[in-house]
Amino acid sequence: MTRVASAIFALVLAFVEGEPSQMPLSCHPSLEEVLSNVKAASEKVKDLRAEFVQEKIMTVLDESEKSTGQAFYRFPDLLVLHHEKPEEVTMWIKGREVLVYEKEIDQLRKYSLSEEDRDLTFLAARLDTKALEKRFALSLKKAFRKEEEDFFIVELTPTSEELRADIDRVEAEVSGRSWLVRRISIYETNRDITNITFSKVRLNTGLSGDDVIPEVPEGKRVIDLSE
Amino acid sequence: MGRFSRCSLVTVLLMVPLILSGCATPKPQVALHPRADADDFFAMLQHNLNSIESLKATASVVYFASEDEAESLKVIMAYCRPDKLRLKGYKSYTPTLFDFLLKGETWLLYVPEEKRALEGDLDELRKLGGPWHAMAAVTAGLLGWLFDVSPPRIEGFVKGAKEWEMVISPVPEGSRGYLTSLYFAPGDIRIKKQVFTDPDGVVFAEVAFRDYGSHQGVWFPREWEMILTPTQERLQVSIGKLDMGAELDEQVFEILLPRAVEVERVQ
Repeated sequence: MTRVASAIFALVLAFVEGEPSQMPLSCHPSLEEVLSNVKAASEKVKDLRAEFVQEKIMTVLDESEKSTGQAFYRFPDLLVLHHEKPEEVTMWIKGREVLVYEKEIDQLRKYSLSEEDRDLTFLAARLDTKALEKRFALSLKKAFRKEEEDFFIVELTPTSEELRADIDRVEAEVSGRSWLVRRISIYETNRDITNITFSKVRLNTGLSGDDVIPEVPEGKRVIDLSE
Repeated sequence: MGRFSRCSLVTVLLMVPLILSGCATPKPQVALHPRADADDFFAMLQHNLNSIESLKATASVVYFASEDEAESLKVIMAYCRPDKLRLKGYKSYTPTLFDFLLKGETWLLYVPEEKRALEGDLDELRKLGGPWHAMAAVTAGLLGWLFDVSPPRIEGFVKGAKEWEMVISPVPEGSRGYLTSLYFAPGDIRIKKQVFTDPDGVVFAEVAFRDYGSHQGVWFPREWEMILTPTQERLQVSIGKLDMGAELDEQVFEILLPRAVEVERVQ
């Protein structure tokens, strides 16, 4: 898996995890306060389910593509991203192992994450700001109010040479009401932008009933591309 | 075959429709003069070449390495006359898989996952992708004569009752390159099939073109399928959006490489 992809997963988790809070904010908190609130909420998360819309914008070529799907997370190290449209693709990430199933071509591939990428990916299981700060410089870029709700844009600028090769910066839009991230924007060094917008986040449901996590197809030959 | 090779294959193969766009033709109902010879016919094939200033297209590509192993990706293609081409490959759930730029006589290929870029002259394109070098050579050769206004040397032109065949000599002339045969329905100048034959007379690859549509007066195949004869590997391309005459900024033909990426010269 590419480092960018891992970083995306990491950031999704790092900020999506959070529990709706009843604490309204009447003034703009500091970056530390925002992160503290997100972390406090994330520490209560055992599982979650969310819908997402991912839009890839290839700025220079003036093309974009939108995909939609569902994300599932179960503490401590299982993440499933199920793209439903335009193509059905499911990714299971457990620890360092990644399985990707592309339904259209009926292929199941296996990849592996480096330890560093695994740490990034599952960072948010218990949000570790210090670990995040090892790889990014964090700043509170903007705070605004929209429809009676406060939002905060946290900007993450990669500090490691490897990440900086691919990612220029990341913006996470955090709701000041729920302490959930509503949108993540990843600005790549090649000027491409990926926006991921989350909705209908449900926490600690046990992922049962309607929340059943897609399973890896049984009996499929796995093409092993792990290192 | 590794990911890099696949990307290279796709890169190379996606240049074929550009060649065809160069050969894009007026409406097929145009009647051929009974005495039309090969040169006249080829002139008709090239008729619209000068009218295509630019093109942008999206394509879905599926590569079948075998019956039970496949790979799919999407490609954005931009072309600006006379000699600029950009191809960008990706999956809906991944960042860029490869970025290819051809400008004049030189090309640049960047594969982010490998954290490296390759560059070379047109003649060196054949060195990409291992087993696919022959196809690259053929494509580069075809591009070479396409960009060069002078027409290719036509080895033969057979007007059969059911099929017309045009055989084009290797490029450069006198080399041990690959013969290219173009097949048409009689009186229909849309290319149905292209066959590449190696210097020993063995068929190396076949490309079938289907689902032609007229785009601003230019005929372009939306579906095409290549079979590499020795290995039976297949590649299917479906053109999605197609914009003939697209306005393309100069930035489209520039690849921004990360600072840490080194460019290796292919020689």
